[in-house]
Order: sequence, then structure tokens, then C-alpha cells
Amino acid sequence: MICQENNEELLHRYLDEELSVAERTELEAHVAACDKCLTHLKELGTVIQTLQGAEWHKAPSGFTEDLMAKLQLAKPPRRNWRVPIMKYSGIAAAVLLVFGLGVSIATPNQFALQADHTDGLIVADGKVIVPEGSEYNGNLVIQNGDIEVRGKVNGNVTALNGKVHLARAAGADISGEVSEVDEALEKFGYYVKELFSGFFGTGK
Amino acid sequence: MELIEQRIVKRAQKGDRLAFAELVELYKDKLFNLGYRMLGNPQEAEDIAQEAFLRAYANLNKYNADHKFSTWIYRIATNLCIDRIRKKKADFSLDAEVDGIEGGDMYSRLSAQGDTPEQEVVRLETRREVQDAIDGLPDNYRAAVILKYLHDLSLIEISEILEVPVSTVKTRIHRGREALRAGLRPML
Repeated sequence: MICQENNEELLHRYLDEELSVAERTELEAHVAACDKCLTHLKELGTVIQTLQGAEWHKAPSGFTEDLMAKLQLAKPPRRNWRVPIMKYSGIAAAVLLVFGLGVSIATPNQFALQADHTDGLIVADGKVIVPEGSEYNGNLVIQNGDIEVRGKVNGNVTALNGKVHLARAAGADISGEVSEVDEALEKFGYYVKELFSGFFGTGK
Repeated sequence: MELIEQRIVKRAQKGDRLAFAELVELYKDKLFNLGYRMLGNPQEAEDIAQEAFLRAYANLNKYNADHKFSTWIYRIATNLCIDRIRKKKADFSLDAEVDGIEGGDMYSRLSAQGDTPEQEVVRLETRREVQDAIDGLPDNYRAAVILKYLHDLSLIEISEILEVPVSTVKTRIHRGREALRAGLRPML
């Protein structure tokens, strides 16, 4: 074997144990006779050993505490509906067909509120108000009614067949997702989401 | 191990902060060492590791259990490191041109500021040379070499972390080793 440029490639493949038996035998014979390639191979071996022997740097003490303190200030992670929905879209379609129609017929056009709690909320007929200056922690779902947010909501707000009014001028804010679901079909989708989030444990 | 880890991740995804703290404990040294080797100094390493965990927390629900959690968290941290290296390169490219040296040397100069005064001369010099040689690698080669030899990860896992084919990882490791051979020549 004549010592050529392409030996570099062979040397690396040799180190990674990727050569065939024939290639390896040939290269080993060459290296035994060629100082240049032998030195090259030894140097690469030393590089690898040096890297593998390099000191492992550990995180400083208090790392986790510092991080958790920062997390206290961060918002809670958002719930992501999409992953299970995409994954189980086939079943979802079937459920939509079987239950969806049923749900649409069975759903009365009555005002309803689904909430984690009602502390600080003003619930009037066909309307829910989050008063100015107040802060609501949790998700709100209003059916067949409107919601007026004048304070802060730390969670998602959903209005089925209704509107979400956000009084930004008064400093109102919703940290989570805001959705208004009007179309009948979207409503099915919402129920399917709810159903699946229940099944797969990603819901409340 | 992976099964236990997946359970912890699930708990964290449901908003259990203590579970997330467990994940931090499991991965803090790995991300810190990765940051240290990628960026060359402990301050930035801590910074980038913290940032990586904050991002992971904020995006915890985008993690899907089809992949290993370690791949996901390594990917976040590696991308942050590469972004920072590129940003630094952009910030300092003018100086580098004036001084007539390559970007890689700028990093080693910068990171040298972080050293403590009480130095065990020989040992530290060797360490410094190894880190300087790593700092001199282009960011892509650097990530592949560090993940393979300092973190002992498989080529498949590295390819998933860097989101490139295994063949590309091999090429980067190969080129990285050649570059290190040149960089470490005085030591070899």
C-alpha cells in the first residue's frame, strides 16, 4: 500500500472498528511499515484517551435550589392538548362519529360554568365576571354564555357558544389560552379533547 | 432506570415541581459539564445549564415519551450552547480580524479570565490545553466530540440530539479528532 491521503479516512474507520477483516489486515500491515501512518494513528489514539480522561465538571452546589427559585417565578407549564389528539386522531374520529352527534343533540342550550372553584367570580345569568383587581387561579369554561375578564386569570378561558371579553384597558390579563368555540363541529372537537384528556391523563 | 425516569417526567408534566427538581438533580452535572466543555468556562456553563432547564420546564408538554428524556434535554442544552457560540463569534469577529487570529482562539482568551489565582501549574496547563483545543473546534465538531468522548453517548443518540444522520455524526467526530490532533500536537 502506498501512503496516500485517503489513509486518514482508513485510520479513522480503523479506530471506529468499521473496517472489514481484509481492510484491517491490509492497513495493519501498512502501518507496521509506515512511520507516518503509525505516528498518525498513535496521535489519534492519544487524542481519544486525553478526551476520555478529561475531568468531569460538576454543577456547583446550590444549582438546583437556584433553578427552583427561578421556577417559582415562572408560569406553570401549559397543557398541550395536541399531542394526544394527533396520536389518537384515528380513534378520535371514530368517537366523534359515535358520540359527537349524540353530544350535539344532548347538549341543552343552557348557561353553564365549569370551573376549578368560583371564589371571587361574579356569576350572573348568561354571564361570568372576573372583577377588576381580582386574580383567578384555574381554568374557566363557560357554555352558552359570555365571560368578562376585568381582573387576571391564571389559566385557560374557553367560551362555548359565547364570547370572551377582555378589558385590557383595566389591566385585565389571561395567562393561558383563550378560545371561543361557536361552530357546532368545533364543539364536538372540544368534547373529544376533553374526553381524551380524561382518558390519557393530560387534563386537569 | 428509563422507566423510573419516564414516571418522574410524567409527574413533572402534570405540574409536580418536586418531580421536576428530581430531573434537575439527575441531569444538572451532565448539562453543566456539556456547557463547560462547549463554552470553556464555569460561569457560562452554569448559565446555559440553568437556561436549558428553564426551557425544558416551559416546554415539558412538548416532550413526547417516544424518545429518551436524556436526548431531549441534551438537545435543548446543545442548541443553546451552539447558539451562544455563534453569537459570540458574531460579536467578536471584528476583533478577530484585527488581531489576525481565528474565532476559536478568541474563546480561549475570553475563558482564560475565569481562572483562579492558585494554580497547580502543570496539571492546570494540561487541562487548559485540552480545553483550548476543544474551544478551537468548529461548533458542530465540538458538540459531536464532546457528546461522544466526554459524555460517552452512542452515535445514534448523538445523531438524535444534533438532528443529523449518523453518517454526519461520524464525519464530524472524524474531523474533530483530526483538528484536535493538530491542536494538541505539543502534548502528543
